[in-house]
Amino acid sequence: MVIFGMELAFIIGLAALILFFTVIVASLLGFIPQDRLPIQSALVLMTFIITAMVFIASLFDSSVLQIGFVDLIGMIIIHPITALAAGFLAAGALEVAGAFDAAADALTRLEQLKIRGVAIFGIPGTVVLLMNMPTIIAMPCGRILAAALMPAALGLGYKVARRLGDPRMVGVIVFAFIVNAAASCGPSVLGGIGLLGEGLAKLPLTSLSDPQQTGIIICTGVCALVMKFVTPLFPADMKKEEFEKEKEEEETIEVANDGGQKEMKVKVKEEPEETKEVKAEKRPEEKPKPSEEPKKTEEKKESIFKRMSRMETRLKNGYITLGLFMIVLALTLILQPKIPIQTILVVLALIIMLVGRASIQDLMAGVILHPIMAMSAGFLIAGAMGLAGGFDVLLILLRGLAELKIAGFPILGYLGVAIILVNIPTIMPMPCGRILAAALIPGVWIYGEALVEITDNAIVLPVLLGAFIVNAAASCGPSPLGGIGGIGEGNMGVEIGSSGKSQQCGILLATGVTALVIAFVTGATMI
Amino acid sequence: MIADGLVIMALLGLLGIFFIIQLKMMFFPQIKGEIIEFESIFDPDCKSCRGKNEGKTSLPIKVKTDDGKIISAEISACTMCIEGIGIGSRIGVTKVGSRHIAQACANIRGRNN
Repeated sequence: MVIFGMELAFIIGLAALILFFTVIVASLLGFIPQDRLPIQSALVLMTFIITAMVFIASLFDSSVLQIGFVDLIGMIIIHPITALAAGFLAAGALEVAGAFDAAADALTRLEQLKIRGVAIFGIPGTVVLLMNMPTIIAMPCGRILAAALMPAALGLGYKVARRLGDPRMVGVIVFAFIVNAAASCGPSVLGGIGLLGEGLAKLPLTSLSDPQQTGIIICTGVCALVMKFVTPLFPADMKKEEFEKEKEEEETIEVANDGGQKEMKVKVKEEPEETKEVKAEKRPEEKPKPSEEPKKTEEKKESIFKRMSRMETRLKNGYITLGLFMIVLALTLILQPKIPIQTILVVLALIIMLVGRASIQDLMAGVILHPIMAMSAGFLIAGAMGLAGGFDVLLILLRGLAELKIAGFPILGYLGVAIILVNIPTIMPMPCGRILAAALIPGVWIYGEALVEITDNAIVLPVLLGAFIVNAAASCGPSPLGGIGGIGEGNMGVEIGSSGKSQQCGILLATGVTALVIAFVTGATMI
Repeated sequence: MIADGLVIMALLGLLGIFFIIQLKMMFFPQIKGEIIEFESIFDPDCKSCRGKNEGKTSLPIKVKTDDGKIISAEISACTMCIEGIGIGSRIGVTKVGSRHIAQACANIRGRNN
């Protein structure tokens, strides 16, 4: 059936594509309020609309619907979702067992480690290790380590800022850490986005991880540089006293007069109870009664001692479980056993829970479902677009754009279009990189296959996929719809979105570096 | 192969359980209230660069319940960012194990500030 000179199937595919991008752009620009209809829900709604559109159109032209409903169900792939679920199980077990606590403690000890009076790591080494730790450990969602190690990042940031007398260093360390965390879900073996590309293109397991990690390390450095010299959060000439005062006002502290000396005390964190009255945080005018002070000091000593003895066991368990996790991960990558990653992760999670004496309930409380929902929304819309022929239309449009010429010279060419395609996630950053990764990866794969045919070079496909995935993984950092950057910005009390530019600069570099590493270093092992 | 299949089925079942728990937390929380503060997680003295809540993947908050009490809870960074939750947002708190988990309330009107 032809309408306005176009096949009905083409029109439906084009409509599906337009609807998809309209929802994305409308959400980014605020036309779809996120508190009423979050992006994931909007995409699921769009899935139903597109599917209904396809079935109605198939009544007029049977060539529109090429797949039966049963076949469609049969095409559903559950491996990425189960891998992600297993990854979160393992991450939850690690958290409850205290592994992330141990990681933060290890950083502190490394900073102080000396041999014959010479600091081995010192602050610079510790900072570099901290900023890259999310990619080294690589959890299925960057927010896991972003939240777990944020206190360490803030602490080191302020320490370095005070030592160097440069307030910009706080933003440098915190946001370089955050962009590293944002991107870390790409190379993660625990259900990371990279596994999507490896499965789709039938690449060896974790073959896209090393190039991504290389790119992310570069991204981290670039973000740090931009944060210091281009978009600093605090002016470099900010006086130390002003900086200290600003930080004191922001933090929740109690000020007590003790023998005429002002003493800054941090509130002792108490175990949360079901209902509890909490006194107002700042009451500098209230002085504790002298008769109460010794009791308070004793209680504090006892509770700190108790806390320390509890912490010691927890830290020990944390170190053991973290070490176990790293060893199993390393062995999996080296030996490449013929066991599905889900099985390895589930068994690992069970062992960690036994060693760390973690309860199932606490584990379940720590599982984050948002990335799973985001990825599912992406898969659903991708399925709907595939059903409607949206990806076929996308390929036609991309090829048309690539072959567009002025005076015989291509404007973008296939390379230019490929560069734009792989950077779409950062151009339209979603709160979870998995949304666009799952939704657009079939399109990227189709374009990659077309490029392989044109260039007669099989390496082009993994290059395109790897670059797209690292870009998608990192894109959640600068997202205005609730990116990881917001965690750092909120904690530092700066304007939301102020770290976006530095992160985007880093991500652009990371995308290019990942592509180069695959093309010239690791690509030969993939094809 | 059979063991792998069982693991996959178990994971799907576990996903289903997590989903039900999340729905319960969203639609039938034990306590409803409003976020009044995101607790500071940072130790300004930084003698050992250790902060409060370190090692936890969730962030500590203070909630004023509908009956006027103030309680401590924790919220995942994902929920906070993706749901656009901030000071003044209405949330539900559910006790899971020994943890008080905050989740966005499924009250569409006036959901978040």
